Amino acid sequence: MSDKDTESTLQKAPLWYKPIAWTRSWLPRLRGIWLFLAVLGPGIITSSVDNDAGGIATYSICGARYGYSLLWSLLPITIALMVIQEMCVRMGVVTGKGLSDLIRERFGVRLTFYLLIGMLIGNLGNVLAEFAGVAASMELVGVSKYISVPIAGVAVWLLVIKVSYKRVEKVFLLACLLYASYIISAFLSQPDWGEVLTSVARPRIDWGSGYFVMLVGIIGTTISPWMQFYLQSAVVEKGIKVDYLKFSRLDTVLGSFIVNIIAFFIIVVCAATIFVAGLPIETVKDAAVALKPLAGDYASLLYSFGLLNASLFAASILPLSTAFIICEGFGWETGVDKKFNQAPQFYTLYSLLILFGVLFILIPNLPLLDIMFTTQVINGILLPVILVVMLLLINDRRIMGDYVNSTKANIASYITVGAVIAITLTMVVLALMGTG
Amino acid sequence: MFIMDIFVYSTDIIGSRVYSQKGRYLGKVKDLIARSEVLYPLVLRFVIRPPRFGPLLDLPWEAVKSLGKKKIRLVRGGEKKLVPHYQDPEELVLRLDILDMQILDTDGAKVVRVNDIHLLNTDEGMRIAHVDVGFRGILRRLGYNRLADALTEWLFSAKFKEQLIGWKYIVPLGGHFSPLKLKLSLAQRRLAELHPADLADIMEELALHERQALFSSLDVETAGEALEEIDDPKLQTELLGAVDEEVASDILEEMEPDEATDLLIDLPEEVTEELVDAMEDKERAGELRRLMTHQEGSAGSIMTTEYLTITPQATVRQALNLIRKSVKGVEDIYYIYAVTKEGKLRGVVSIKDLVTAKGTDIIRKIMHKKVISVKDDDPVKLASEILSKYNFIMVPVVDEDEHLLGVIYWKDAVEAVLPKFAED
Repeated sequence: MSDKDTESTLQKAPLWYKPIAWTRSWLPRLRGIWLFLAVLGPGIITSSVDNDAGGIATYSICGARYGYSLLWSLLPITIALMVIQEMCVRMGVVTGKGLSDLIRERFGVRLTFYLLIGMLIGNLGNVLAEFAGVAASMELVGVSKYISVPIAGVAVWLLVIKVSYKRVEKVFLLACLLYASYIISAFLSQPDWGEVLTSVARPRIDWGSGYFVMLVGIIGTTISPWMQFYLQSAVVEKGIKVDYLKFSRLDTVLGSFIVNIIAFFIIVVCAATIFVAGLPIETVKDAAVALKPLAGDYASLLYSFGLLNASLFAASILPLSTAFIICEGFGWETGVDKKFNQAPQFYTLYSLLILFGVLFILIPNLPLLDIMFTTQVINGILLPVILVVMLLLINDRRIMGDYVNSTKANIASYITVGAVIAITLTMVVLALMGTG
Repeated sequence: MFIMDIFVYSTDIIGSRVYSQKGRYLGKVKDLIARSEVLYPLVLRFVIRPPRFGPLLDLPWEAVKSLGKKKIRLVRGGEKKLVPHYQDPEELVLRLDILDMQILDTDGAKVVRVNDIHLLNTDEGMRIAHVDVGFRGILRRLGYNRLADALTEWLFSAKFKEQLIGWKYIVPLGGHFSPLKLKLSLAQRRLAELHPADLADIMEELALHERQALFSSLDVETAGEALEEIDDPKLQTELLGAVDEEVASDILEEMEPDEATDLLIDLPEEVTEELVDAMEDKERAGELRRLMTHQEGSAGSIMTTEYLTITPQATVRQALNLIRKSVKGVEDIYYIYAVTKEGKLRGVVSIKDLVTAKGTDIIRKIMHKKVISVKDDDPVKLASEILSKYNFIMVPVVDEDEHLLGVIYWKDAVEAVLPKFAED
């Protein structure tokens, strides 16, 4: 059957169609559960990194300030995440290239340059947030940030350069099981499950501007520009074949659910305790402190432990993948297996990202919140551009061949992307006006 | 034709405004199309985007009168030569096929991204001479080259250097391209010049489809050599799966038997059968079958069946003639093994022994009779210990009855015992 298949695709194909890429191999395929396990990973890892320090902070504040009233939003966010991530996975599998490669090849050097510079700045903000997460979680157990943050910075740098990122990834992935700690915390905090369910099933939307800003915040922290690049590169790295695309899709579906399930329980924890008690909180640290008397020592400890793991995991992945993405876009050598003089740009970028992340936390009186705020705005401006670029790429027959979006997929992705863009741009405008 | 400079960058032409002789604005240059099959591709047409969303047009080279700063003027009546845009799969479309794409620099043996294309003006027209892969190319395209020059001049009293690679060293890989598009013989010759180990590194670095395209464009011999150099079995099978089954079988036939066996063992059984059955050299097929029966981790599993044997009755001259004749078929020749008609191992002579002996000497007289060997079911570790203890380059493998089955090269033993070492 494979011969026939190839023939018919070839006839349909335009001149510059690359037949080799879609020729089905005569090698037999993996089957069943083995196949799924073989492609599993990118989606789940991406979603775990997605629940980083910034994510945990946003969910906590959401629960603490608005109770269960925003829980309903997690369902549409899950769907949006699936639609967007599926496109990344499909592009990665079909082209075998990262998103920055595709953007460079399709749109040229100019767009690539400004996008990547924007992403560098945006990601610096994210790295900063991760180290702030380390500082916050360690201060809860009485360790000064002047000790914890430099150690974390050096440890992350050394681990990735000297040990091998693959091994580090496995450790953190295992540690992600600790996210279950949020679920346990949720049960320890004894929420009113009936009320939780009602608020999901019949949302009462509050039309105040604060409520809306919070909603935008949740979307912004869940769907980030960096994520698309990372997911696609991870899929490429795994070398997943087109034949196994549907399993890879399952991986992202699973990942999207995991992100939002964790988010769900974090919101529930904070809603059941802090919101009910009516305490005002501003940061993750406030949340963990407030949890102690309300939900007990264990819940509070589990909460901070989860935060530490999330921050370290993201802090070890973010700078590395940012350096990868930027160097690939410009055609510079990459890889931690290279020597410094073989890939100088790569190592410099990687080290500088960590260095600045650490320094910014440690320099006293630096307007940390303003810096993070600015980078969030940059991410907010970047996201619509990247989503539009992704839509153009995924509908380009020269790049995707027969795997371009179907009409149905296009309707779904246009609606999703349109909604995300509208909401994100609103956030940027609100932020610049000073409401955020 | 009047052109300002001898060398022009493609991105200086792309975006140029096109005017008829009378000064009517016809559109902007979107792309350039060149002939791919010659050593230095000749620009044939410009792709023009007309003002106000019309369909794309192609402007043949002959219709152009002058090429200036971001401005192209046509000859009288040149606008009548405009035709609807078309693409011939044999031609190079600069922006789609080369610009911003990855290419293989066969001189430096690495994969780089093209930041610009350097065109040379000759009497017959404009030809692709180099590609620019330096950071300077990026700066120029962003329009920051002057700023960057001033800045670096002031700070380090230096400038970013041009990094040009001659077109003759290039195999395009990117985009909608495969080396197949560059006339196969041309690309193949360039690829065959690369050391197989470099070729293997390059393929490990490339995106899935590009490495498959690259691999399938290699001739069978080069493909086999490159495959031997790839350490990752997953990648080996993937590449082999990218070519037709018959070609895969040919490639395996070309490879060193021990390497081919390693690869075959990783494949599903039914595929292995088919591949070995399809081999033309039935003797080689039989050898591979035998090699595959050896258990993993046994000496037999890493031995190769390429070695030279001679009867103990032969003369030194005959032995030397045998070496001369066999140079092509055997990887490395250090020793000749003396075996009986039944194939039992009786002795060994080194090349040094042969060269220093008289041509009429009988092998039996000069051979070392106490041959140190391993059994095919001995562990690999034992073989490597023997090799290191005696400083051997290779050690013979025999069965229970002293029949010579193969030899283990020092290199293969090290790789088997220290897989990590092989990766580095």
